[in-house]
Amino acid sequence: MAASDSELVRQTLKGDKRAFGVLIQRHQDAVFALVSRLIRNPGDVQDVAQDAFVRAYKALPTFRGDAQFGTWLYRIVWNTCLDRREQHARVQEREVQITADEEDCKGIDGFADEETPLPDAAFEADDVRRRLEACLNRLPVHYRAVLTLYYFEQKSYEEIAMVLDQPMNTIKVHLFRAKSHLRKALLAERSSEEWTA
Amino acid sequence: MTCTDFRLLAERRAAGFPLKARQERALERHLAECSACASVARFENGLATAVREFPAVTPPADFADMVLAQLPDPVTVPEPSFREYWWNLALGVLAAGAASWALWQKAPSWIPWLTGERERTQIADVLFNAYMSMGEVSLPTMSVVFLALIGLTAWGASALAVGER
Repeated sequence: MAASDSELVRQTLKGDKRAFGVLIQRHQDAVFALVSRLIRNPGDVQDVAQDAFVRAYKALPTFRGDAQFGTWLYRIVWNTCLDRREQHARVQEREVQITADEEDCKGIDGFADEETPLPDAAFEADDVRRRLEACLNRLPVHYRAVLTLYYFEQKSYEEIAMVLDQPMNTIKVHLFRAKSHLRKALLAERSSEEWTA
Repeated sequence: MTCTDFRLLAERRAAGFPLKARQERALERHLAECSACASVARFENGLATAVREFPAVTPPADFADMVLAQLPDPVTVPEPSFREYWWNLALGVLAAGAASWALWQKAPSWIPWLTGERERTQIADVLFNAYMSMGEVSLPTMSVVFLALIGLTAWGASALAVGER
């Protein structure tokens, strides 16, 4: 039977680097997937993932097992991504601008923004997906992180709050706003296409 | 259930969280009747798919080896040595002895953390009376037991503090 993450952490702390190698192999796909969605430059993904694993190794004595190893690791990955972004702070990012009125959204607990128009049924599924992919890449990094952890990693609000070190309500707000932005971006794209057609 | 509830269910289902069978049936029924919620559900599914299928870099086959080569020396939690073990025990017994002696002396004035003479005397009296009313055991035996208990507690605490049980 394969050793659990906690067991591998214990072995690593006893000086067995190979145990950490097993942890890397177990989590590398998820880490690359997360970093790919947070870092815009694909060339940086491997560097950031590598850096995150090295940081995790150094911080291993502080891992107390309160959370799952994966959740703890994601938090390190998230902080590594933020540090990398800071390093590239001078590079101007073309993020979707959040205007003041958009910040003040309602219906945080659900998907209750009844006022926001939604993409209608005329959108073909593949078309929506392609457009969403393009819009996703322009979202602010916090929104991308929440969307990725929720829809890709299937983390609960509570786990996402732990990873991003933010209150659970903030996570719900970010999820809501991210979707709101995407809906509006889709509609804006569609309107401009109709205008030019 | 309201449209808001159904939209939340649609969101959870799109994200891959399993719904109960009756929730699933209710959601399907509602989506068949409510075009606004059906539109939201389509958006949710599209979003979930877009996030999942977002082009991601895959790790090279030797990625783990590359990371391992970069790691510093093993990060081991230091285990207390044999000498440190007995040193902790001796310190624990000494501390316990000092504490017991202080209590025996009715907390003399040099103990800084007790506020005034009156409080010192009251606290010391309570402790001393509790100590003396523990049974018919002779005072020297009682002292040894008392010292041993405090010593063991201090020893356990110091051992825990260095990560060794």
